[in-house]
This record gives sequence, structure tokens and C-alpha cells, in this order.
Amino acid sequence: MNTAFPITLPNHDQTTHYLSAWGKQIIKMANNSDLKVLDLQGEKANREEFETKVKALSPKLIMFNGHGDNSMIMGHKNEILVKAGENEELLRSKIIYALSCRSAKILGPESVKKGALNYTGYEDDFIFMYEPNFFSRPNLDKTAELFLAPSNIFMESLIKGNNIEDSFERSKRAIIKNFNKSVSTLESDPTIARFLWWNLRNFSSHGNMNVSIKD
Amino acid sequence: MSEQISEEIKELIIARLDAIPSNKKISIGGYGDFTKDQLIEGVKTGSEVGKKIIEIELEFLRAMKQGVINP
Repeated sequence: MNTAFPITLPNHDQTTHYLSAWGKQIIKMANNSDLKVLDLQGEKANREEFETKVKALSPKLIMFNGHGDNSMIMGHKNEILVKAGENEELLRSKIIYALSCRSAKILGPESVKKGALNYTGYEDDFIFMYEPNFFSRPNLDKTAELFLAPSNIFMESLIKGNNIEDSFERSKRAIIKNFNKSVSTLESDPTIARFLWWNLRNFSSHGNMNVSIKD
Repeated sequence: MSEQISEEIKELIIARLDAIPSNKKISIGGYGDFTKDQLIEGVKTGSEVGKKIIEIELEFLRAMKQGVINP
């Protein structure tokens, strides 16, 4: 197995600014393990760069951050990186996590049909709340943390060698924990709950649940 | 979402959105980033993001009613 894996981190609007900042935490986690990260940040999150690196490295794991739709994942400035019916065979023999809207709806199952080991993502829009006062320091934003930390737990668990099923359950439990916290403590914001629930409802995993990156 | 939304339901959703703290924004995927006032305006005018937020609110309320969610 190639121990390098790509992470796309487009950064061209408020949403991708936050996803990019929180995605960098995964790079730190990976760098503390025996994995190496191919960081496709900003303009590097383009189709040519992505396809070239994936073909050259043949990584076992790929993480996408950014915007998406039912049948596609996008990179910097919403350039299409992978689209069902166009180039989803690039995902063959790989584990994919897409922190992106909707792509688990069609691209997920289609990529598994074309040989991806597993595709985990969201079947509808991924929603998060944040505090604009922390825009220059997104990792310190406690509101955004309630949404983005559970997502990172999925990747952290995979990096540690756990299988998809275990990682998926850990991430779901983290969302539920934050949901319960948001509606049951005095200092919390209960208006967050509906969006955490929405993400939990749409968090979806297709393919082999027993596979891990260490297999 | 094709179902017809009554004015009473819209008022309920607007009241729920109004409870969101003013110092927070909501990122709704490809729709963009919104303050609560922008979402309320979207519900009132029937914009695409307004329809989306109505869908989310109604599904959340239904899930609560059905006991899928036990806060």
C-alpha cells in the first residue's frame, strides 16, 4: 500500500475557508502517524493535479473537502474533480471520505459499483454554523467545532487503522453527543441541534464497511 | 420540496430561525453562508435557500414528533 494519501483543501469562499482550516488538523494527525499527506490546498485542488497525483500514487485513502452535488465533488473555485459517469473509476480500490454536500447520494454508490472499496459522505447538504468573529482563526471557533470535529473523528479513526464501520460509528456518536449537549446544557445553543441532526441523518457510507487503510 | 406550506407553518419556522443568535452564520453547502435574517427573508420570499431551510425545519420537527429524536 502507498502510505501517502491526498486531501483536497479548496479555499475560495467562507465555507471552504472553514473546511480547509479544519482539514489541516487531519494533516497534523496523519503526520504523527506512519502516513504521509499529499496536501492539495487552494489552487492545487484542481482536476489535473488531482488526477495526476492519484494515478501516480495509487493511494488507499482519499479525503475530499469542498462543495459537491449528487454526482460530483468539486475543488478550488468549484472545478469538478470527480463526476459520476466521467472519471469515478479513479476511485477504484480506494477508501473515500467526502466532507462535501450530497456526493454520497449518487457518486458514492456509483464509485462503489466501479470498484471503490468504500465511499463515505453526505447524501444531502452538509450544514455547519460558525461565528464570523473567528473567521481568521476557524480552529478556535467553538460553534464550528461542534460540526467539524465529529467529521475529523472519522478520519482520525481511519488513520489509526480502525475499519470503516468503527470509524463511522465513532463519528456518529460524536455528532449525537454534541446534539445532546446543545439541547441540555444552560450555556449551549439549542438552535444548533436541527443542523447536527440533519448532518447525522445524511451521513452515509457505501461499500465494504470492514475495510481499513491497514488492510 | 413540493408540499404547500401554510402561513402558520412559515411563521413557526421564522420564529425558530429568529432564535438563532445574531453572532452566528450558517453554511448551507452550495447555497452559501447566511445570517438568520437572510434565512428568514428567504423563507418569506420563497427563495431556494428558503425552501431548503423549510425542508430541514419540517423534517426535524417531524422526527421529534415521531420520537426519532429524544432531546
